[in-house]
Amino acid sequence: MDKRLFIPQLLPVLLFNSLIALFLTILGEDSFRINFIFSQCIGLSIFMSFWAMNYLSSGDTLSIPRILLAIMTGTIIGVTLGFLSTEATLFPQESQASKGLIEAIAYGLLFGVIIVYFFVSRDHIAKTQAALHQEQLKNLDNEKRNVEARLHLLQAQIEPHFLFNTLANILSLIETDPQRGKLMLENFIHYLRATLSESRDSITTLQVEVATLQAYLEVMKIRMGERLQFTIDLPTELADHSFPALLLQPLLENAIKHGLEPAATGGTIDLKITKVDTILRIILADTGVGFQGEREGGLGLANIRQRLAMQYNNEAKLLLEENQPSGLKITLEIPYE
Amino acid sequence: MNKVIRAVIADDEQILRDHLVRCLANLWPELNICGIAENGRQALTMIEQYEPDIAFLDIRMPELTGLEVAQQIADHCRIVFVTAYDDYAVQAFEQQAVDYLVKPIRDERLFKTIKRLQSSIDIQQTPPDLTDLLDHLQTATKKDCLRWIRASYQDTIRLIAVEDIVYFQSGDKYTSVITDERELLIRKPLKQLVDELDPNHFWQVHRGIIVNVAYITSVERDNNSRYQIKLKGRNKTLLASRSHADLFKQM
Repeated sequence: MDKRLFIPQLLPVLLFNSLIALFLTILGEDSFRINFIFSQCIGLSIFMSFWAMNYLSSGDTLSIPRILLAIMTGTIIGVTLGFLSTEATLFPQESQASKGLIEAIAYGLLFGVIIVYFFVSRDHIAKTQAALHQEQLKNLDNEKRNVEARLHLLQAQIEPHFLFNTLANILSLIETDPQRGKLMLENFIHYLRATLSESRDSITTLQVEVATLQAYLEVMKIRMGERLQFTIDLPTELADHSFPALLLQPLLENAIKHGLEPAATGGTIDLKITKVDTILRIILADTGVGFQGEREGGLGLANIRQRLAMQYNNEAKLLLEENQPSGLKITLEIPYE
Repeated sequence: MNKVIRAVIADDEQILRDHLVRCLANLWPELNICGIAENGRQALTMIEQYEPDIAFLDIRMPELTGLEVAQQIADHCRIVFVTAYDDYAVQAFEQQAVDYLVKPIRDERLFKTIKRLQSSIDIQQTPPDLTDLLDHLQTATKKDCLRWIRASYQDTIRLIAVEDIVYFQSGDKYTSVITDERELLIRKPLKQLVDELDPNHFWQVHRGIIVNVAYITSVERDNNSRYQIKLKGRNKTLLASRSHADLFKQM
């Protein structure tokens, strides 16, 4: 329990104690003064032992044995205090004293349990409501992230630099080498069709996914010339295996944009897809400049992780390493289903 | 015009270099193209060596960007930036009346640029001073927050996206990086990380702890008014120190 609750809880306790005293007086048990002293002693002692117990268990919710122990301890201390402060006026004879003692303890326990039950259940309700509220917030947060991810996907569909540079190349090739220009345009259309497809969240096959990557690489090959070399290794037996559409596309674009394009001499991109036991392993390695300065890149990676989490329930792994002698190596492992 | 006007062209894509050379040959046959560079460093060398009147500089190039080349040659020659798409830069060029071309280059637009260049050279106007503009553009593109942490793990260097990090904890010599899967050590001190990480996503809750806000599930005050931070999928809680508790006061 929170320290700030001490005073707000103390006041109802005092009120309850007074009500109990009134109740007992109406029932004909002793005078109001005696009842009042006893019920305040017992009530406050139970209250204090609760706080002591709480302090000892460092804020955790109290278990039922601990609650009962607190009530017992509180009652016994309270009854003792009650007798000490009223001794002179009560029980002239020995026999009456033990009867009074048992009665006082019984009343103490009875009301103690009732009142403690009231507070504990109130605390419990508050905690349940807080948890529910937390859950609602979490759901809202998840929903927001989903919408954001979708938006980013839409924005990231076609990088304007890629679009306009490619068009500039095609425009130039129309004059000088129409045959190559046509080939480039065909690959570019292939890439555009796949990237702009309505079904970009859906599942495709490895073959289709790799064909899109290949179209992109062919476009880049014409643009970068000798500065780009690439290999794609997809075993035929894996060709028809299902795969989330365009999952690898952003990784490849990153490898080109942040890896090879900034390197004056360019480099190589190797895409290798293998099946290892029950795992589909995809390795995308480039020999570009790597993540120099630690501050670049990261674009689209959050989206990929989110898609992986949704699709494979955290069974997918995405690992980034420095490639040797230079560049970046990305390993993606997903369950082979 | 008795003096021959000379130009250097720089672009990392061969087809686009050739294209610009052809266009210029068509529209400005008297222009002498004295150097064709494939990257920023080559461009800088050629400009220093040939001292051309004009430099056509692609913005995104390996080694040095067109903006960096321009920064180093100051007002020695007139610069025409060439870009496929750089929204922020194009806006700045427009405001400051800097010459620029967007790819694909259109003849009409190139012709206008040529006319402007010719008239400014004719009246022997000194090239405009771009220092302030370029400094501004440089800082605008470089203030990104840290997105990667490099950490050695076994015998490889791992790159960990900061969004995958649950928290950082400072140690005697190293800083521990705790992710969902493992704990890694890096040399970068916590003090430096605080400055480099995005303050919207990473909070320093203790002198020795920076936590990824996305991994916090709840924060509870205990009996001693300290804040206990519970983390997603973890039993361990983190303790926020009193001096850093302000972060949670509004919660």
